[in-house]
Amino acid sequence: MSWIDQLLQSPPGWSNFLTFMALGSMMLTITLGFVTYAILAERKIMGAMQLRHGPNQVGGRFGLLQTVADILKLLLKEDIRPAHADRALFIIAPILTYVPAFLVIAVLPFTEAFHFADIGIGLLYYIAISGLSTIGIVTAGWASNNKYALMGGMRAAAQMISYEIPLVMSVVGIILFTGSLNLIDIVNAQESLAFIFLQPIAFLIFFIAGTAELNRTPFDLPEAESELVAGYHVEYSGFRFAFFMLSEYVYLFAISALITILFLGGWHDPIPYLELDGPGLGAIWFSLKFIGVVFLFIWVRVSFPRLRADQLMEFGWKVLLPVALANIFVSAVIKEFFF
Amino acid sequence: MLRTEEMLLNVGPQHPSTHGVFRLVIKIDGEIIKEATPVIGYLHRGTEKLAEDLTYTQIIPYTDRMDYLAAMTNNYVLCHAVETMMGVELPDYAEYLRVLAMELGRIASHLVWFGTYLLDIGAVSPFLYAFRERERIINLLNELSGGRLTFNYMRVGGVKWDAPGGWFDRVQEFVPYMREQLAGYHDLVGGNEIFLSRVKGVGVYSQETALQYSLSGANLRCTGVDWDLRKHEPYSLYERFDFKVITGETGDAWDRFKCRMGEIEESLKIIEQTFDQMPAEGKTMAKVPRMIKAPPGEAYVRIESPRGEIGCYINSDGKKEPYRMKFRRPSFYNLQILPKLLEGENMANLITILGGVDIVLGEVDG
Amino acid sequence: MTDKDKSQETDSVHKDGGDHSESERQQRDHEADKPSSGPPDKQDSQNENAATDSENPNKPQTPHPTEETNPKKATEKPVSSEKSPPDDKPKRKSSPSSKSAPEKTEEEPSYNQPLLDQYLSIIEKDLGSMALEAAYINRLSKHVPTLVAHDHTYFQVAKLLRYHPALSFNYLSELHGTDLKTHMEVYLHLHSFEHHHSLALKVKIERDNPELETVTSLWEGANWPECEAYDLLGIHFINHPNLKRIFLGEEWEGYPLRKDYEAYDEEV
Repeated sequence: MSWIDQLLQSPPGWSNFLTFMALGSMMLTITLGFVTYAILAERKIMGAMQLRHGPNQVGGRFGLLQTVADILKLLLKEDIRPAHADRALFIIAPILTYVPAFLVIAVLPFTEAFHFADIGIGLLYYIAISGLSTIGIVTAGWASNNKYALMGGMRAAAQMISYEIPLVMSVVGIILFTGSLNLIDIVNAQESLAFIFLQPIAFLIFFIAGTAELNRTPFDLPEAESELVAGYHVEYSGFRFAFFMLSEYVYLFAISALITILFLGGWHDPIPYLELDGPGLGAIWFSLKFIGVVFLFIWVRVSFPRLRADQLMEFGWKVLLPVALANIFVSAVIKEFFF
Repeated sequence: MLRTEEMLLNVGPQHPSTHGVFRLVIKIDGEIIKEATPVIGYLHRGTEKLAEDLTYTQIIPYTDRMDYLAAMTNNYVLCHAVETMMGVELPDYAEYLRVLAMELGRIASHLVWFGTYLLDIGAVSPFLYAFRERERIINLLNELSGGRLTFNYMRVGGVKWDAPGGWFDRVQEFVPYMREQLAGYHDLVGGNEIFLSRVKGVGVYSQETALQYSLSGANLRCTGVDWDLRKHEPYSLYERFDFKVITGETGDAWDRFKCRMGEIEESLKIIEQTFDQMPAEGKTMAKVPRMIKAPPGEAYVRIESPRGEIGCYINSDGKKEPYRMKFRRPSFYNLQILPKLLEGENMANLITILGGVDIVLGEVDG
Repeated sequence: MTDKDKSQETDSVHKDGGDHSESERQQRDHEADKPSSGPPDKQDSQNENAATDSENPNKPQTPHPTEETNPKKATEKPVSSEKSPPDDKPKRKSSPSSKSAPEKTEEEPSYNQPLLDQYLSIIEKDLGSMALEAAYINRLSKHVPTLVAHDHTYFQVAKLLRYHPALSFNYLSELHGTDLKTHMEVYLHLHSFEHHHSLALKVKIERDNPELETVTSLWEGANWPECEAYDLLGIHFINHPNLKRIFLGEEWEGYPLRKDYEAYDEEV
C-alpha cells in the first residue's frame, strides 16, 4: 500500500514512467488473461447448459487456446470501414468504449495488498468513468452510418442512463453504513458481515442494473441480434470489433469485482469468525466469490429471454428506482436505530 | 412536441429473424413502426408451373420443398387430392403409417417454431433443447423414409416403405420422453416472467379479423375459433382418434404459443392411440395403377398442416400430369395480416409478431 | 414389396376414376336441365373451341375438357371421352366390374344436394335466375357444391355469399386462377364458420383481357392470392387496393402459368 503511494508522490522521470508502464501493462495482461478465459468459461458453461461441448479443439481438450485464436484472428482481419461512415468518429468509437473499461480497474482493490489507486471516492470514480463508455457506443452507432447501428446506439444511451441511476441509488445504503466512498474502507466494513445480508435488496438492484450496464441478456437490447442484427457494432470488424468485445468482457470483470467488493466482503473469508484471513488466503476468497458472480452472470444469460425496450424503461424507472429509493430510506432508519 | 422524422428500414432479406429470405420494408419513427410492407418472392421456384410437366409421383418431392419443416403433410395433401379424385381407398396400415409420420412431423415443426421463437425473443437455450427432441423425430422419420427433411415418403395410394424393424418401439419410447421434455419447457419458458411480458397482449386480433384475413392453424385457433380440419373435416383416419382442438381466448402471441404447445401434446396422444388401433402389419399400398392418372375434372382438398390449412387443387384432363395444380399454402395466407398487426408496434414486437405467425418462406413463396 | 403390388395392380387401372367421371357426367346431365344454367350461345362457342383443339392429340397440352367447368357441356359426352384416348382403354376394362357407383348417383343425389338447392334458391331470390352460369355438385372434390358465376355477376354473387345470413361464407380458403386456353377461370373455395358449409365459386373470364372485380372488400384474405393470380396469370383485379407482381417483380415479362408462356431460358 505504501509503495504505490511513494511511487505516486515521487518526481517524474523516465524510470518512473517505465515503472508505470510496466505496472499498467501487467494489469492489462491480467485483465486480458481474465477476458480470454472468461469468454472460454462463458462458452463452456453455456455449452454445458445447452447440451453442447463448447470449444474443444484449439489448445487441448478444453479448448484453452480457443479465445486466443479468436482474438488473433480478429486482429489479423482486414479492417473494413463503410464508405459513408464518419471516418474520425468511426475510428475513435472503439477507443472511447475500451479506455474507460480499463480505467475503472485502477480503483478496484483485489486484496489488501494488491490494488492500484487507493482514492477516497473510488466508488464514485468507478460509476462516473464507466458511464463514459456509453459515449463510445453512441458514437459507434452514429458513425457507422447504418440504421441498425443507430438504433442500437440510441437504445444503449437510453438504457444506460436509465440504469445508471438505480445502480447508484442502490449503493447509497452501503455508503450510509460505511460512511465512506473508498472501496477499501467498504471491504473492511464487511469483516464480520458481508453487505449482501444487510442490503439484500440493494444487491438485487445492483445486480440487475449491472446486467443492464453490461448489455447482457436479458438487457442486451443495444445489440439484440434478432432485432438489430448486431446493434451498434454491426459495421465493425477486425480489431475494432475486438475492442468492443473486449470492453464488454472487461466490464464484466470490473462489475463482478465491484459486486464482490461491495456486497460479498472482498477478500474477507466468507464465513466470519473462522479467522481464515491469513496472508494469501485473501486472494483465494476474492477469486472464489468473484468467480461465483461471473458464473451468476453467465447463468442469467443462458436462461432468460430479452426484455423489450419500453418494458426495460418501465422496469428501470417504475420499479428499480422507487425500490432503490425505498431501500435508502429503510437503510437510513436501520442505521439510525440499530447501529 | 419535438418533430421527428420517419426512417425507412429494410428488415431482410438477410436478417436473423425473418426465418429465411423475407424482406420487410418498414417506416419507423424512433422505434415505432408506422407502416410495414412485406416483400416476398425471393424463394419462388414455380412449383405449380413445374408440376404441370411432371407426373403426380414426380411432384411429391417438390411438395417436400414447400414447407420444408413439415414435409409429411405436404406429401399427404397432394396424395390425398389425387386419391380423392381417383376414389382410392387406402389400406388401414398405410393410413396409420401416414398418420404417425404426419403427427411426428407436426411435433417436429412445432418444436422448430418453439426454439426459433424463443431465439427471436432472446433466449438461446430453449432452441437447443427443442432441437434435441426434434433430432430424435428427424432420425425416426429418416429411418422411415430415408430423408431427414425432404421425405418423399407418401405415394398416391399409400406409402413408399414399410416401417423398419423396431421402429414402432422407438416411436413408442419417444412419446413419454417428449412428454417429460414438454413439462420442462413449460417450467423454463411458460413460467418465465420476461417471456410472458413479451408475448402477452402482443399482436392481438379478433376472431372476425382472423377469419377476414383467411388465417388458419394456430393463428386462427388462438382467437378461440374451434377449427381443426382433422376434427371438423376429417380426412385420413382422424375420426378414429380422440384429441382436443386447442383454442385460445384473446388472440395474442401468448395464446398462439399455448395453442402450438398444446398441439404437441395432442399429437402425442394421437400417436399413442395409433399404437392401440394399428394392425400389426398390412399392405402399404392400395391397388393403384402404375401410371397415376387423375380422372378429368377438378378437386380441391384441404388438410391441417402444422402451419394451418394446406390445400391442393388439381385440375386434371385425364393425363398423367395435372393440367393445373395449385397449392393453398397456409404461410402465404397467414402472412397477409402482418402489415396490419405491425402498425404502431415497436421494433421488438415486430419480431414477436412475425415469429408468432410461424411462416416458412419456402411455403410463402411457393 | 410395394413395387410388386403396384405391378400386379396395373390391370385394374382407373376403376374408380372411370366410374367417377361417368357418374359425374350423368349427374351433370341431370343438373344441366336445372334452371340456373347460363346463356347457351357463349358456351357453345367454347365447346367448339375445345373440340377443335382436341382433334389434335399431339398437341403438348390439350386444353382441359370444359365439361368439368361447364356442366352444360356434359350433353356432349362423346367429345370429352374422345379427347382423352388413354383414358378409354382402362375404362372399358373396368366398366363390367363397376357395380355400385352409377346406380348410387342416380338413385341418391349427393348428400350435399339439398345444400346446393338451398343456395340456389337464395341466390335466385336475390339476384335473379340469370346470376349463375351453372351450379352442380363436384363429386371429385368431396362433393363440394360448386357455383359458376358470370363475370359481371361474380362480385354480386360473392357479396351475397359473404353477407346473406343463411349463407355467410365468411372465410376464404383459397383463390386462384387457371388458364384454360379458351378462357381463364378463377376458383374460390369458401367456408362458412357459422354454418360449417363449404362452397366453391368459379367464374370464367375472357383470356385476352382478363379482368375481374376484386373480392378484397369482402375477404381481406383475397389480397395476396389475387396478387398471385395477377402475377402468374395476368388476371387484372379491378379495384384491388395494391395489385402488384408479388413473386416475380414488376419487371418480369409474361405470365408463367399461362399455357403459352415461354420460359426465357430454354435450358431450364
